[in-house]
Amino acid sequence: MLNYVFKRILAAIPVLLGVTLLVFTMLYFTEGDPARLILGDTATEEEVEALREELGLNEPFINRYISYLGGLLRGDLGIDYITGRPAKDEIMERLGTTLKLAGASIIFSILVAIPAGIISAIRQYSLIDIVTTVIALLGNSMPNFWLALMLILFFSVYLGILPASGLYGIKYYIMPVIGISAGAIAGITRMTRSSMLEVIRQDYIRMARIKGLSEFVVIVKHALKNALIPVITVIGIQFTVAVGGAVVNEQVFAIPGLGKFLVDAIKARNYQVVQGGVLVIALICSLVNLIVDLLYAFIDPRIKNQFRESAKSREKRAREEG
Amino acid sequence: MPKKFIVLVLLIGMALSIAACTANVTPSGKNDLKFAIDQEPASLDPYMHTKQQGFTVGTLIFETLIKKDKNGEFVPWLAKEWEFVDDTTIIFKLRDDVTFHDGSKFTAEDAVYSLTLGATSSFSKTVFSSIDPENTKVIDEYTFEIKLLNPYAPLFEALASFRGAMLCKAARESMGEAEYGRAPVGTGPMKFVKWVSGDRIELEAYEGYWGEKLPFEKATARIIVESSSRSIELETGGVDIAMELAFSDWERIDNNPDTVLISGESQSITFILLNNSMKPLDDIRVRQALAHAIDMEALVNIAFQGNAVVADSYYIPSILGHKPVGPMEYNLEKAKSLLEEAGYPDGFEIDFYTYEHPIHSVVAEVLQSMWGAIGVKVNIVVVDLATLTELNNAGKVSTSHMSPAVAIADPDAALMIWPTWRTISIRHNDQHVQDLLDAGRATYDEEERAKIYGELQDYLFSKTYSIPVAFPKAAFGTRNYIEGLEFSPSLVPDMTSVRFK
Repeated sequence: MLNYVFKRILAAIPVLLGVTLLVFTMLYFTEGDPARLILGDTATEEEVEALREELGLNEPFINRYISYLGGLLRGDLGIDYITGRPAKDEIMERLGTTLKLAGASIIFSILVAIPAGIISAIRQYSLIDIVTTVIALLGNSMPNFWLALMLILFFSVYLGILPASGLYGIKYYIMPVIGISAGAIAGITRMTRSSMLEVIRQDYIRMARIKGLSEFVVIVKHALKNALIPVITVIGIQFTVAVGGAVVNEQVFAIPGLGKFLVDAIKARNYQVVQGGVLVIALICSLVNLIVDLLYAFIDPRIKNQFRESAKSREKRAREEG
Repeated sequence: MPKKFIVLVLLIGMALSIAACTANVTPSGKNDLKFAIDQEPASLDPYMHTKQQGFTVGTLIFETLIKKDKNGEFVPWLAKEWEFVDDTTIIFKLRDDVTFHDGSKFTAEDAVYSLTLGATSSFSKTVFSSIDPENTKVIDEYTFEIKLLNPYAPLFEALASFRGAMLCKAARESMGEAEYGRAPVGTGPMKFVKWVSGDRIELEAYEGYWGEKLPFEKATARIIVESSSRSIELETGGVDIAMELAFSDWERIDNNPDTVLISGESQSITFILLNNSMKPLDDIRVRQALAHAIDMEALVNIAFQGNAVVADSYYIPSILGHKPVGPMEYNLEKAKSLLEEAGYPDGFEIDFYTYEHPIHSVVAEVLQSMWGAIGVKVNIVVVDLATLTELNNAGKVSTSHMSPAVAIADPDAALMIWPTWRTISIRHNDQHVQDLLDAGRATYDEEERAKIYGELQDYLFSKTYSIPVAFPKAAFGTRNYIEGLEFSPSLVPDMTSVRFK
């Protein structure tokens, strides 16, 4: 198992390298000059040129990329061109907020979506199933910014019980969490439902019922556990979406998160912030994928055995070859 | 039962009426000021950025040598008195009781440091480049001399504006440029506490402030980029003041009894940029034909939803020397015959550059149809702002709609797009324009100065190097218990004037 984890972490390195190369190349070929953007329209060509020199923007592509990679090895993500501060500090400040919010949203989604999915599966075509499906569809198809604004209008302006924006305490989390979760809840509910529907028709479920187990045990222990694999995949995906893609919610609720920060950085051609931010998000994605894979093994003993077997067979092969 | 019911109704009525009464006064014990700005400034160092949001926060932290009073007179502030030795030499005497937030004394050393920085920094030199950084020098602890490279009439306007803030030399040198901009040290009534990136900037009252203390001990500038969120925060009382309200929110803020809309004409101007070095725009007849083909009244009403005035010249009427010269008469016949004269009887094709912006993109569409009427086919090229900025400064933009900020309320600053050294795509390359600008800068006598700028506006109009469009209005909103805060055409209201009712 540890072996597997180690291998996966090693395998993430070329992926992350690929991400840096891709982002770096795309930014290199994008029009728009950070030096001109910082100094504005009133700067002369010489001043812009001097700043380009200072920021190292005149270096050839390969030199820039190599010095960037060198910085990465030292844990240096470069500087934020606009504030002149280390890009790492800026990204980490935002990352904390984003992770808290994404974490809260995903927990909330799970708490709502999995029970909803189970209920609509075991009561297929009942009223509750239809209602859940409709709500899930709505959640999926509603534009993010519209839902966020409607939440603000209802809870802050009309009822006056929740603060409209910012993130300064528990109360402030409620609306953004709902806003970010809407899509996730819809996705997880639908996946739980369809996966459960598949499982509860299996023979082993019938067997469990015949054994006389209570309905609760049958559903939660036998059915849910087996239906969970695709659900966990969706949860993993939704979490990464919440980390990098909550831009609209961050903007409407004035939350200093990573997604909004990255979009602004792209607009300002703040290269090193974009590179660092994307790298951090890629890193989180790899980590989440790893955790999801490990959870598979935890839930499904067959997958766990695959890990063991592959390790064993490799050892065997090694012995034979050696 | 009915009795109980009546008592209940009375109680609710009382509660409501108390609520109604208290709605008009400041919440008791209010000790802090929260205001929402629409963008995060890159720096608070006034010589390291040009963003109104940074200057607005800066009005609480920094102070200037002089101020401009309600009658437009320059009055002493950190400087007690000043004296012109000759056209290019001014001696300033400073107050001796002013300290910085770190406790150190404000001296002539700091003033000279600030102004020479202003003269050399690429962000501020548009206003201060006439100051001679070599020969502006300290005379004694509280006296210094400004030496000008050439006579510079806008100097006092610049010194009295938020652009001329006094920095702490020792702090800035020891902290470094970038850090000082993120944790500034000034002489103002509020000192910097912390800056949570992307979220807020916190200030608190400076105990050792030399002047009158403000009625609040804490101030927080919240960064709320989304305009509807900003106005909702104001309506729900989350902030006391919200800057830069979107046109669509004006009416609601104005009608709400809890909030007050403070609007006015900003000192900026929007114009249609024509690239005079590009064919066919290098032909004056083509440029005039394009101007004659615009129904300016209609364009402005559509694009600005009635919240702008049609520009009658190249800067706003409240700035010295404004002369109404336009707009060009809407006359399709004339436009067509001018095009024919220029050799384009069937019109031509041209690119109009714009980016995703609620006003600029509407202007592009309206122009497409208006110029289409004289056979000019407009291709709207939508790029992002970064790309547009680069193309524009490389001289590659053929036509576009621009709204440059005007740094200070002076004709020289208001005409900042016209010097020949500018890299934006106007590229008129007309020395006569530059000569008049230089003459205006160097003339102290207001009447004479106004005459020079009058001539310049006539000349620009006759050459139609660009087409002025509108003087847009702007607004911010406050809760109804805020008073004293006035609209500022520069969109940087003096936050130290905030009082609670």
